[in-house]
Amino acid sequence: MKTFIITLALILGTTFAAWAQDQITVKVDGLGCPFCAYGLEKKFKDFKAIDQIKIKMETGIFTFSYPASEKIKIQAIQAKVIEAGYTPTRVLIKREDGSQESKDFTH
Amino acid sequence: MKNIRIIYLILFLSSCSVYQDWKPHSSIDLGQGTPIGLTILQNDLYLSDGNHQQLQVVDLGSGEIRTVKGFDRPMHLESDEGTVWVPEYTASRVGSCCAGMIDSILNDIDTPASISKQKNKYAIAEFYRNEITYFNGTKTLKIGQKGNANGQFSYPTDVQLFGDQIYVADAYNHRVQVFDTLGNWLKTLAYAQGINTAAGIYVNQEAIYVTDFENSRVLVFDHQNQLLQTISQGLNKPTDVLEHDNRLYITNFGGNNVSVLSRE
Repeated sequence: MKTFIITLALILGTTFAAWAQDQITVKVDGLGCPFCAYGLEKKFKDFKAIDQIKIKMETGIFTFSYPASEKIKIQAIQAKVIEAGYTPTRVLIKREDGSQESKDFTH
Repeated sequence: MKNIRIIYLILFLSSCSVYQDWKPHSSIDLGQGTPIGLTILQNDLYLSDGNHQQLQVVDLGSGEIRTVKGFDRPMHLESDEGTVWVPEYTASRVGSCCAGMIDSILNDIDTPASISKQKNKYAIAEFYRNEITYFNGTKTLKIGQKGNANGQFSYPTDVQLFGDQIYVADAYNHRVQVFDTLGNWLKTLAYAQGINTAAGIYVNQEAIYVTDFENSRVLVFDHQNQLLQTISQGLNKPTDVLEHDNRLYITNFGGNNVSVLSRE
C-alpha cells in the first residue's frame, strides 16, 4: 500500500510538473496591424511548446504560457521579438513557483 | 457643318470618362468579425476574419452571414474559376474555400499575405520574405527584397495581377509599386499622400484604390498617380477594397464591418 501511494504521488508529481506553466507578458512596439501581430505569433510558434497565445493590438501586449520545466529566458524572448521585426519594451515572466523575472528595455 | 462639329464634340466628350466620387451607401455589420481581405463569388461576399481564424460569407441578396472555420490567420482573398483562394498566413500555405489545398507548387512560401490568381497564373505577397512570388503558368519568378529603393519592399501585404502588370501594396514603405511580368520595376504610386501602412489595393481600368490603414482612409488614384478621391467617412482601420456591380466594398478591421459605397 505504501509503495502504491508513493508511486501515485510520483506519477501525479510528474504530471503536474509537465502541466505547470510559466505565464509570460511582453510589451511590443509596432504591433498596430494584424499582419504584424500574426507575424509575431508565427515567429513565437518556433517555441514548440508555446500555448495560450493572446495579442492585444491596440496596446501591444503579447501574452503566452510556456512549460515551467523549460525555464524560458528573457533573452530568448527578446531575441524572438527582434527576429520578428519588432521592438520589445518590457518582458515579465511569472514563474509557476510564484517568483517573477522582468526586464524593461526602455531604460 | 455646324451639326457635324457638334456631333464630333459629343462623341469626344462621351469618350472621356469622368471620375465620379463614391458616396457612403450602407454598412454590413459583422458582429465580432475582424475583416482583412474580401472577394466576391456568385453574389457571396467572402471576408477573411483574421482574429477568429475563419471566413465570414455574406449573401449580398439576403444579407445573411455564415462562417467557414478552419483557416490559419486568413488574409487577402482571391476568387477565380469558381474557387475562393485563402492565404493562410501563419501556416504559410494557400488554401481554398471550400475544397482542399492548392497544389504543391506553393509549398515553398512564407507568410502569404495575399494571392492574385488568373487561371494558371498567380502572384503571392510573402510578408516576411519581402518578395512577390509570380508564377506565369510555366516558371516561377521572385520579385523584390527588403529595402526602400524602387523594386524593394518593406513587408508587402497585398498584390494584384492587372493585365500584364503586377501591383503591390508595399505596406511599410507606405506606397504602391508596379512591375511587369518579368519582374522589372515600372513605377511607384501613392507615395506623396502621407499613407501610414498601405495594407490593401484594388486596381481596375479607371483607378487604383489604396487602403491607408493607420489613417483610416482609402485613397483613389488614376493610373497617372493623380489623386481622385479620399474616402474616410465611416472607415476604421481599412485593410481591403473591391468594386463590384456599382458598389465599392471596404473592409474595416477596426470597425468590425464593411463599408458599402455607391455613386448614386
